[in-house]
Parts: sequence; structure tokens; C-alpha cells
Amino acid sequence: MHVMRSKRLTRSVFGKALSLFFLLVLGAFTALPFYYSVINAFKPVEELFLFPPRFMVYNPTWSNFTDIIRVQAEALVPLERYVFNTVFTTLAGTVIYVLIASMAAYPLSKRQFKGQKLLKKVIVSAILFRPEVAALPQYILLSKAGLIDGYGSLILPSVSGSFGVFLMMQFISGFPDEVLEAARIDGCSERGVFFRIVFPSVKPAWLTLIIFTVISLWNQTGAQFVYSESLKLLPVMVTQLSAAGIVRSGVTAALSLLLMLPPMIIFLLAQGAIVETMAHSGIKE
Amino acid sequence: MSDIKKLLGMLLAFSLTLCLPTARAAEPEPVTPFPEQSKLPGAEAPELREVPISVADEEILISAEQTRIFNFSLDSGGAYALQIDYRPEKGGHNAPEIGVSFDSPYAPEQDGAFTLTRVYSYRYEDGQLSRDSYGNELIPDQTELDVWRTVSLRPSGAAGYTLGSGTRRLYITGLSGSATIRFIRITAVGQKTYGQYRSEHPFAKAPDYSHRQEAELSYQKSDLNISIAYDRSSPNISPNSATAIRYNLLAGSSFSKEGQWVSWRFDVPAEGWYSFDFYYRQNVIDGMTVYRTVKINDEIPFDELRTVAFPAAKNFTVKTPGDDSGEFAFYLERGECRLSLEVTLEPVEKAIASFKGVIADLNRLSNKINVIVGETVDPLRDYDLDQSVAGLTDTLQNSAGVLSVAAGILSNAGKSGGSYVAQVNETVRILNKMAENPKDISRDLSYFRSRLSTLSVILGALETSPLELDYLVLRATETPKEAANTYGIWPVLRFRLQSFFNSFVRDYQSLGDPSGGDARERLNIWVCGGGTGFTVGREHAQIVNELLLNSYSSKTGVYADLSLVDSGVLIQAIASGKGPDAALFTPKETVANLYYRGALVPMNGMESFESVKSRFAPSSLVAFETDGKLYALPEIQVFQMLFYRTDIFSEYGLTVPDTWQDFYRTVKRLQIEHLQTGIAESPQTFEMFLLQQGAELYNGERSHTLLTGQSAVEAFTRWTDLYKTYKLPVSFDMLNRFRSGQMPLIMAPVSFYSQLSVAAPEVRGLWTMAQIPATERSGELNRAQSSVTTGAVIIGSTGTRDYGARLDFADWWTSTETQNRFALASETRIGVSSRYYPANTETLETVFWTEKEREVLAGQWKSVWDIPQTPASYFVTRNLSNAFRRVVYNFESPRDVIYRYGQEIDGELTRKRGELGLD
Amino acid sequence: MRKKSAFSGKSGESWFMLSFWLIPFVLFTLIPVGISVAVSFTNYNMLQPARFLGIANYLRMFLDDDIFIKSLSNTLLFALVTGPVGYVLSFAAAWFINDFSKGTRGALTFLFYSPSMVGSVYVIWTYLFSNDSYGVINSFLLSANLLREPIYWLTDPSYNFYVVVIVVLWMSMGNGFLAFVAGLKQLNPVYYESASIDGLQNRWQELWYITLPQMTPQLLIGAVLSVSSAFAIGAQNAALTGNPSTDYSTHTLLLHILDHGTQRLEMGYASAVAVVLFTIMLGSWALISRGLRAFSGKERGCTSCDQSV
Repeated sequence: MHVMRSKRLTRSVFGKALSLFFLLVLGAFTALPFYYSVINAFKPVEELFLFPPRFMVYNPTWSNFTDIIRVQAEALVPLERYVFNTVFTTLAGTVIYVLIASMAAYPLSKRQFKGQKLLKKVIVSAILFRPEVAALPQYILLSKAGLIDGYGSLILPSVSGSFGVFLMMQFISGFPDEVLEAARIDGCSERGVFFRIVFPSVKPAWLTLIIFTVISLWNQTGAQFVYSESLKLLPVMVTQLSAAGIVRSGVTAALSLLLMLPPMIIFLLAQGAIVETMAHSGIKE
Repeated sequence: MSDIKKLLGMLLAFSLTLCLPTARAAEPEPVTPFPEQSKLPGAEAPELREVPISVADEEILISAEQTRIFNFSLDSGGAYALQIDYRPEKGGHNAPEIGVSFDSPYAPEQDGAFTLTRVYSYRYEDGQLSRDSYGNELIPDQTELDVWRTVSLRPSGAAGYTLGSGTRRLYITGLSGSATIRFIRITAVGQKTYGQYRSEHPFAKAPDYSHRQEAELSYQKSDLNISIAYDRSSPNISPNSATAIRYNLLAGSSFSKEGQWVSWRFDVPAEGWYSFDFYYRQNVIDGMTVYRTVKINDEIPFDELRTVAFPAAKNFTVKTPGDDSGEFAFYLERGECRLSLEVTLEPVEKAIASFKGVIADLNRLSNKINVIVGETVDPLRDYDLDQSVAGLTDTLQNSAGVLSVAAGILSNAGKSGGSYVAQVNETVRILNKMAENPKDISRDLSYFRSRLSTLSVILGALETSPLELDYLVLRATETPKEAANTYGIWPVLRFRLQSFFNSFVRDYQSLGDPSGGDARERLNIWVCGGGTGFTVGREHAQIVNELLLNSYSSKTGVYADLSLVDSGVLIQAIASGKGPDAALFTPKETVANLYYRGALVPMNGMESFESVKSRFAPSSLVAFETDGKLYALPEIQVFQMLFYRTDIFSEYGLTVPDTWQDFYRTVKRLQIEHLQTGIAESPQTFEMFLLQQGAELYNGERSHTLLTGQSAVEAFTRWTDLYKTYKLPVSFDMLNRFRSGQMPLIMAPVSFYSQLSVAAPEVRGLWTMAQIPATERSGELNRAQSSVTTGAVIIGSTGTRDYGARLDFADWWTSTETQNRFALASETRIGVSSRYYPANTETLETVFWTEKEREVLAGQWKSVWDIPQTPASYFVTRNLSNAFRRVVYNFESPRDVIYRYGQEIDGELTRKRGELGLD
Repeated sequence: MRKKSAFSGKSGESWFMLSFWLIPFVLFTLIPVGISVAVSFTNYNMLQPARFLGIANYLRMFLDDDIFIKSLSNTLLFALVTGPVGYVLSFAAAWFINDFSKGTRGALTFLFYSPSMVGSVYVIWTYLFSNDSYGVINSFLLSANLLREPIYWLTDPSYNFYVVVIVVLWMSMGNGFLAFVAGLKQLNPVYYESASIDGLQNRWQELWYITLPQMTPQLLIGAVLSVSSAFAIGAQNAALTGNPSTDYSTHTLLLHILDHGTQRLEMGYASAVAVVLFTIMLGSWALISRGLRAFSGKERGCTSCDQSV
């Protein structure tokens, strides 16, 4: 069936131009902090402290970036290790979370079983409880489990949240039941139904979830869970570096910029994939 | 799926690019074959050096403020250098300084001050660095050597003093410190070129020989600051190890100030001609060539060695001194040979002087403009600056001219700072433009200020001359030279991978003995990161790490696991039983929270407690004491000082205020000139007024405050009056206003010194510190104020176990020797932005303050006190701020406001005391 | 055809699939929350053993704590203003962006979502609204002679509340934005066709009758994010106006919780406040979700709504 887009009402050209204008203005405004971070990374140290802050660089320089190598060369723990820690926890956490959240969302939205209604209510409520207060009990539990100061404490709290399940539930519930029935008739197990049919079809959902999870995992400091230097994550490394004082502010700015990039890259890739999928959506009546 | 592959690919690429340093194997430079003939063109008639004229030949002691006069006579006029053999007076770290002048007494403005450096050396073990049981190398101790040293003094920018024949007089004035001089000689400065040097010595081909001397194993050096470091990023730096720490460099940033020198010792196998190669790196200052004077056996063999250029190099490369016709060779006799490198700024001296002059002139100009333009520049108004500011256009044009010349010097001095030359030229352009169109100046003011700031950065860069050395090579001239960076990309990559995998196996926290075999006890120690005034970061933790290993564990058998953690996590960790045994750099508020809840072990149980306690300024102990017990040993103490612009004060004929009455007068006087005074909004100001009135915040048992009493009301009123009546700005950017001259008088924590030194280099030398104003009561001056402190604590609850080993550790950590070492390492490795502010009274002597600064600090320190901590201290701070704002924003009556907020605080204090069972 | 049976042997398989997530959830989310609730009835201060207090904490909260009342009213105000407004703004942005071609759409989405990806976003706002007379707004007003002295935007209780409102509004653009964008992409064009045949006249009708009902799942997601963040406003306030702000003018429940938990070390009381906050959020959520479902109920042709959430 063709996508008869031409039948859908569209804006007039004028309306489109006007809205584009407003969107760009608003967008530029919202992107201002990003722009500021970018130019800060190229400012030499004496420009970083001008007040009011300049939105322009007078003498742009790459030295903040090359200094990263120099400063890290003196470190006990090689830079690669911090990078590895962050990449590993983000990757592992994301993959695990997306998988288990989707696996949990499927029976919750497409199957019936005892206690389902209650569980659903609990899941939604759990999203609303602020983690700050539960932080201490969570910490105690993790330490009793011997996970403090290990990768477990960096990954587990993030994969035990319920927002991901909620998100997947909303998307999966839109999947037509008839297709599922057909598959079951064909002798497919529930797991098969899920992995081979449902999961690939809700790609926009888990791509979105990937974005959310990557952003939160990549930016976590883990400062309260991890003390060993060789397990620390990049955001903490940057903070520790900047503590040496003003001399390091250039390097800090450059590192902060670099840290921002991977989530943005993931975002762009995922967004692209979301759009692509939807153009060829398999959900048809 | 393909997206994920793409993603993984990008991630991999990203991580890889981080791993790969740009390792280019440098090609070995062609060896210039040693020509057979020993005579070079133009080498005829070597001049005989005149025998030095002895001016004094007995031991003379020269101390500060003393002047000695010597008479001597010269047969002929010419250029002469002053040769002195000296030995500094024992004690202290600062090298003595003398002022030298001929035929007239020395005057401070003259260029004639010289530093007589001390001599230090590392104490090596068999010529190597000692290692811990993991195989990590340890930084050795340093000692001062009690030796005589000969130096040759000459004025800057010239080869020697120009003296006429006849009877002459030499004045030597002690400027600081004291030294004993054994002889003084005047030597004629002959021009000795390399050619002449060559023709003086016989031709003797040395046997094939090449010996590598690691730079980190030096023979002697001129000061404690020159240190060694490690770079673990590549196997090309020798020696290196992917699994353990190897100190493989002479740290570049520590070998960078004029007058510093380092020497190495070689054993020459047989007489002959040799060459020296230096494997170095200069990647601290972009594009800047640095210079060194090369001396062999304490003499400069020929003139070209006075300024050997080391061009900027991001990666290690090799430098063999030479000139256009080839590399230099040295004639060495069999036996010991000492090679030294001394930092020299000779090629850029003139440029430096120009910069200093221009910056001073432009600063003055900027101040004058500020006065006229005021706080906010109105872009539409025509300020008629060329009329109101005397000599505006002249100064601008002059400065532009001087800078152009300086830029020329810079670009001639051998590829020196390419981008700097461009920036100087840009500044020249701006200055000329401003001179042509004075009307536009007010609009471009911020750009002008930023150029001024850039100029001082360049000046700073010119005066800093860092050179990082990996190793030196002594070889027979005919022996081929080694290439730098012999390891190509794959070995480097392998090394990095090894290092990476090793990070999983190695335990970076554990210091020393891994198996605990001979360890009496293992301590778990946390270093609290962050902080105000002195921020503790990873580098500090590493210093503590090294100190522990080098001076504690090996001696006591007590080993430690060290972690750098945020102080906020401390309580959480203790709550879940994962807390450390001891914590360092704990802020005083956290300490109080802990001891009021019984989480700390009191220090009173320590051996020789009284003598330990006497190390610290009594004021630093106040926040850590309760109920007769001391719960922490102080480390840092930061208090406030007055900072003021000496140039602006002298211009208006102002003196720094002594009492508050003086202060108010100064404020008003400055306001007339449209200048401001700044005291940042902080409850510490209130505490200061309170203490200066001889009053307390709490009653004896600390069960309620005295805020409703008369003294408190008075102090509070004085505080708010500063802003209401005397119109001090409430909210402002202290750094920028002080540096621009708009706010020439401020009260700030002493740590502001560090900030200013780094972030505002253009006003270096134009400001200084003074004691805060005192309150005068019946003829007595009270200069008290509160302070910010951190302490070392031992975690635990009393009575359950023996804390002997831990208390011992705390004793060692706060001992004068350890604190001295820490202060030294902190500043030499990280810089002045990490200057230490010790609570240990003796350590202040070793921090790199000048004599005058130290005097002022020590004077103020005597008057410093502190406010005790209670469970409601946080509430006091916040209510004081709230009260302040009520009065200053809403003009409510101070008496009523402080009464109200004081009562609230009392209520909270009562509640907290009840909660903790203190009543 | 086999009937969809509720309790076949597949039930076990459902639980099996659930368990992977459920176990960490129970262990690291539910139990800690449960412990918090339990702690709220004690006077736990983290370092000393806890003592049971009954409902003393709750009583103190409502009867004896002015700051609690203030933060409660602040939180409700903030939530009311920024919740719905941010929500609508997010949706509007997503809807407008949807009109454009892939490239423009991608770029705009990136722009709008960037604050959520960048770390310290409020720094810009502290420069704009700085107390300093050189702060952007102050210097503008001063040089335009509208002011004689700088306004202390961030520390003066009369102003800082409004500043925070603006900033929070701006930050709330990220909520649900992505979900809306994704949702708008997956709309079924069939409905649009039949609607235009049925005589649909303008964009608004299209939005109201066609687009929104289909997007109920995404609307719900956006709503839960909105509620969750609107009531939990605190971090931005602290970064802008200090923690605590002058006279607690921008104090919120979350900040009150953190204050008692980390500053005053009264974990028991903090947990009690957290429970109260949680209850409020649950209540609001119940109202909102019921409203949304009614809005896009079965009569409106919503085929993809999960009615039980």
C-alpha cells in the first residue's frame, strides 16, 4: 500500500517558512549552551576567565586538546582505562537494559497473568519515586552484595529502573494481536514471538530507549559507588583534573566537549534509524 | 544491526585515536665527519686571556642590608666579568641575593641583582632510584650540599661590565639571605669563538664510545623545585615500563626559571674530541624556543655555548649543539666530566624588558581610562579620551613601536613563538588604530583589555623556559648519533595495550607490599577531593601516595590503600560500614558532623599529644575541639587578607588602611575617583567583626548563640553597613574587577593569591597583600577573623579497639617534615595555583612566599581565631546570609532582623542538641 | 481458532521473561524504596542506630515546619506552571518539526534536544541573570538607564522565583520531546486519507481528531516524564539560586529532602518528606492518566491504548 502523503493536509509555504523561522530562533537559543561549550574548548586559559563571558574566541587554539595527552601521560592510570570503563559500563548497561526491559514489557502488555495489573501499577509508581532518597538504602544493599567499588555498582542501578519498561510497554501494546496469534499458531514459542516478531517491529521504541539510557549512563559520575582509581569513569576523571586549579581549566573544557560527543553521535545515528524504520513500517492493517 | 556495527566502529576508532600518540621515528641526522685539520679558517692568533685580577681573597660574610666595598685597579679598559666563589649560609630554602655595582652604591632600580643559588642533589641508591615491592620507582630525598661554587656575573644584555682603566670600586650589597665569599676576581671577557676553541686543543680522535646518561639521575642542581617526573605514554621515553612506574624525565615545567641549573656527571674513557646530544621535549609552551647555557666543568668553553637553542618540540627529539657549519665537538680529558645546563633568557632579554615596559604603560593608561569611563561603558557616549587622558595617543603609539621591535627580536631569535609574533603584531595594529581614532576606544575597551592580558601571557611565556629532558648522550664525535623515538607505531601500540591490560591487574591503591607479608597493618585512607581555597585533586592524592610510600611504609611496616573520594560520600560510606580508617583534607563542617555523631576517634589518645598539638596554630584547632577532646589534626588553614593595587594606590597617594576607620576613609576616597572596594558577601565577614569586638558566637556550653546580644547586633550592623552605607558592591566578579583596576582594594581569602597569579598575569608585580583592618577599642587593635580549615581524622568509635597505628599515621602526616614535603611537591608539580596554606606553623617557612609576603601573612596569622562548630553550624551560615539580604535588599532594621534570625538559629540548635542527646 | 487463554502454560514463560528485569528491580529499586518508607518512621541520622518515632516526622512536617509548607507551595506552583506548559511546548515543537524534510527535521531535533545531552546547562543562565552589574541583563538595563543599581536576580527573593520559572520552562522542553518525535513518525497514514475524504478542513482538526488519539502511548510517556520531573524540580534551582535559596524562596520538596538528608543528616525526616512527595506525584499521575485516557478513549478510535495503565 502506498503512503499517500499527498493526501495529508500540509501547511502553506508561508506557514512553513514562518514556523521554520521561529523554530530556528528557538532552537538556536536552546542550543546556546552547546555552542558555548564548543567555543570554550578552544579558548586559551586567559580567555576562559573573562567576565562577562565571551561568546567568541579571540585566539582559538588546539592546545587544550593536545594538553590532554600531556596531562594524562603523568597519570598512574592510563587514559585508555577511563575510556574503557565508561564505554564498557555504558555499552553493557544499555544492551542489558534494553533487552531486559523489552523482555519484561512484552508479557506485561500482551499477555495476561496473575498479578499483572498490580505489577503495572507498581512500575508506573516506581518511575515517580525520586532516586535521591532511596540512594542510601540502595548503597547499603549494593555494599552488602559486595558490589561497591566494582563495575556492578555502576551498571545495576541503571538497569533496575522502570522507565524503560514503561516506554516499551507503550509501544508494544500497539502491536497488532492478530500477527501474534498467527505466529503462535505456526508453533512459535513466546520467546520466539517476541524476539523474531515483536522486538524488530518496535525499533523506534528501543532506539529511543537506547538514547535515554546511553545519555544517562555515559554522564554518570559513579562517584558514590566507586573509589578505586582504575574503575573511575570519565566524568570523574575530568572533575579530578579540574581540581588542580585554574591551570587545568582549558583541558577541562576540551575534555568536557569530547565527553559530550559520543551521546550526540548515538543520538544522531538512532534518530536516523528511527525515521528510516518508520518510512518502511511493517505495521499495516 | 548495521547501525550498531557503525557505532562500534566509530567507538573503536575513537578509542584508538586516543591510544595512539603521534610517534614518528626521527631520522638520525648525518654525522659531520671530524675534519682532519685542527686549524679552521680565522682561528689564527688566539688571544691569551688576561690573568684574573683578584679583588678579595679571604672569607667575607655578606648579609642582607650589608654593603662591602672593594678597591682594585685595572690596567686597561674593556669588558669584564665578576667572578665570585661563594657558599650560602646554611638554613632556609631561599638562595641569597646580592646587588652588584661599580663605582657607586647599588640602587634597587639598577639591573645588578644576582641570586647565588644553593646546590642540591638527589640521594640515589647506587646511582639509581630505589623501588618498592611492586617495582615502582620512588622519588629520592634531596639534600643541600655544603659546597663552594664559582659564578661569573655579568649585566644582562651585555657580555660584561664596561670598565675603564684605573682605580675602581666594587660595591656588593646583600639583598636577602647571607653568603660567605671566598674570593672575588675580575676577569676580562674575551671573545672566544668555537673556532678559537678548536685551535687551542690538540687533535686527538677519541675511541668509539657512546654513553647514555638518564636526565633524571642528575649530579647537582640549583634548587629543590627542579624535580623528576614520569611519562608513561610511550616506550620511546627511557626507561619505561608498562607495568610499573619509572621516573624517566627531568620535569620540564620545573626546570624553567632564569638562573636554574642542573648538572650531570660523565666518565670520559680517554682524551679526545666528544659530542653531547640532548634528548629533549618542549611541549609546554607552544612554538617557543628555549635557551640554555652549556658549561663543561663549570666553565663555558666558548661563546656560542652561552645560548644554545632548543626549539619547541611536541615529541622527543635530539639536539646537538652546533651552528651553521656543523655540530660542536668538545675536547675532554680522561676522567670525570661535569656537564651543566643553565636557563638563560639572553636572546629574548630585550624583548622581555620591552614587554614589561609596555605592559606597565598600558596598565597605567587602562587605569586612567577606567576612572573616566566608570563601571559601565556607554557605547553611545563620546568620552573625549584623548583630551581627558594625558598622553593617550603618545603612549599608544610608543607602545606600538616598542612592541614592533620586540616582535622583530622574537622572530629573529630562531623560530621563537610563531603564534606569539602574530599576536604581538595584532596588538600593534590595535594600538595604532586606537591612537588614530580615540573616539572608538571606549567601544573597543574590552578588546583592548584582552590584548593587554594576552601580552602578559606572552611575557609569562617568554620568562618561562621549560625544557624536559629524557637523557643525554656523551659520544666520541665520530660515533654515529642515536635517533630519537626508535620505536615505531606498532611497538608503541603494544606498549599502550600492555599498560591498559595491566590496569586491570594492578592495584593502584595499594602502596608497597602487596601480599601483606611483612606489613604490620594495612590502612584504608581517603583523600577528600574538592574543597575551597585549596582544591584537592588527583595529583595531590598521588603526592600523598608517594610520601606514604617513601617515608612512612618502609619505615613502619604500615602500608596503606589510598583513594581519592568526594567528601560528601564519606558519611554515606561510614553509614554502610564501608568507610575508611582515616580521611585527609576533611572540611571542618564534615569533621564536626562526624564527631557530634560519635564517628571519630579523638586524638588525645596519641603519644606525645601535647607536642603534636603545639605544631599547629591554636586558631586552627578551634573547629575540631569539643568537650575537651580534639577530633582532627589541622592541615590547611585559609584566612582573609587585603589585596590592593600598589600602582593605583601610589598614583593617588593612598596608603593601605590599618583600622576600619582608615578603611572607610579609603573607600570614600576611591569612590571619588570612581573606583570601588570589594568585600565578597560572606558570613565570614560577620564572624570577623564579631571576633574583633572580642565577642563569641556561642555561649560556653555551645547550647545557644549570643546573636541576640549587643555585640552581635553591633557586628551585624557593621557588616550590613558596608553595603548599605558605604555602598560596597554586593555581587561582583572579584578577579576581573581587581585585574582591570576598577576595584583596587579587596578583602579575599589568601588563596586568591594563587588565582590572581595564574589568571591575571598582566598585573603581576602591581599588587600585594596586607593585613585586614583592625577594630580599635581603647587604644588596642584587634585584627581577629575566622578561618577555613581542613583536618585529618581517624574514623572509628572509641573504646572498641586499639587505634595506635592510625594515630601514629595521623601524627606522621601532620608532622612538619611531611607537611613541608607536601607543600613543596604540590606547588612545584602543579604550580602556584596549588600553593599550600598550612596550619602547621613551621611549614609556612617553606612555602614559596617572598620574605615580605611571609611577614605579612605571619603577622595576620597571629590574630586569626575561629568560631567553634555546633550541630547547627550550617543553619547559622544560611540564616546569616538570609538576614544579611533582608537588611541589604529590603532595608529592614539590622537589630530586628538579627534578633529574629538569631532566635530561629537557637531553636534549631536546641532541636539538634536534643536529637543528638547532647543536653 | 484457539482462544486467547489467560492461564495457559505460557504464564510461566511470561514470568520467565519478566524475571530478568524484575529481580534487579525488586532488589535495587523496590526494596530501597521500601526501606526509605520504613526509615521515615525513625530518626535515623546515618551514623547512629535509628530509633522508632511513629508518625512524629509526619506530624512535624505538617504542623511545625514552615519551610516544608513553603517548599510544598513552591513545588505545586512550579509543577503547575512548568508541567503542562513544558509538555505542550514539547509537543508543539515536535509537531512543527515534523513538517519538514528529513535533514531539517534531524537538525532541529538535535538543536532542541541538545540541552539534555550537554551537562551543565544552567551556567548560561547564571551569566544572563547574574547579580553582577556586568551580567548580561543587568548591564543592558543599567546602560539603558532603566536601572540605577544592579538587580540581584538570583539572590533576591522578590525576583529569583521568576528567574527559576523561566529556566525550568526552558529545560522542560526536553521532556517527552523525543517520544513525541518518534510517535509522530509512526502515525498510520490510512487515517489521514479517510479523514480527508470525510471532509477534514484544517490542521487543528487534523491534530485533534486524528493525530493525538493515535499518539496516546507517547502522550502518556511524555506525561509521566513531565510529572516526574515537574514535581522533582530542585537541581536547577540550587544551581541558580543557591541551596538553600535566600529565605527558601525557590525551595522545593526535593531540595527540602536533600537538605535534611545530606546537610542536616536527618535521614528519617527526609524519607518522610520523600514519601509525601511521592504520594503527591502518584495522585497527580492518577488524575492525569485518567484524563488522557478519557481524552483519547475508545470512542475516538484509539486502537493502541493500553487502558489499564
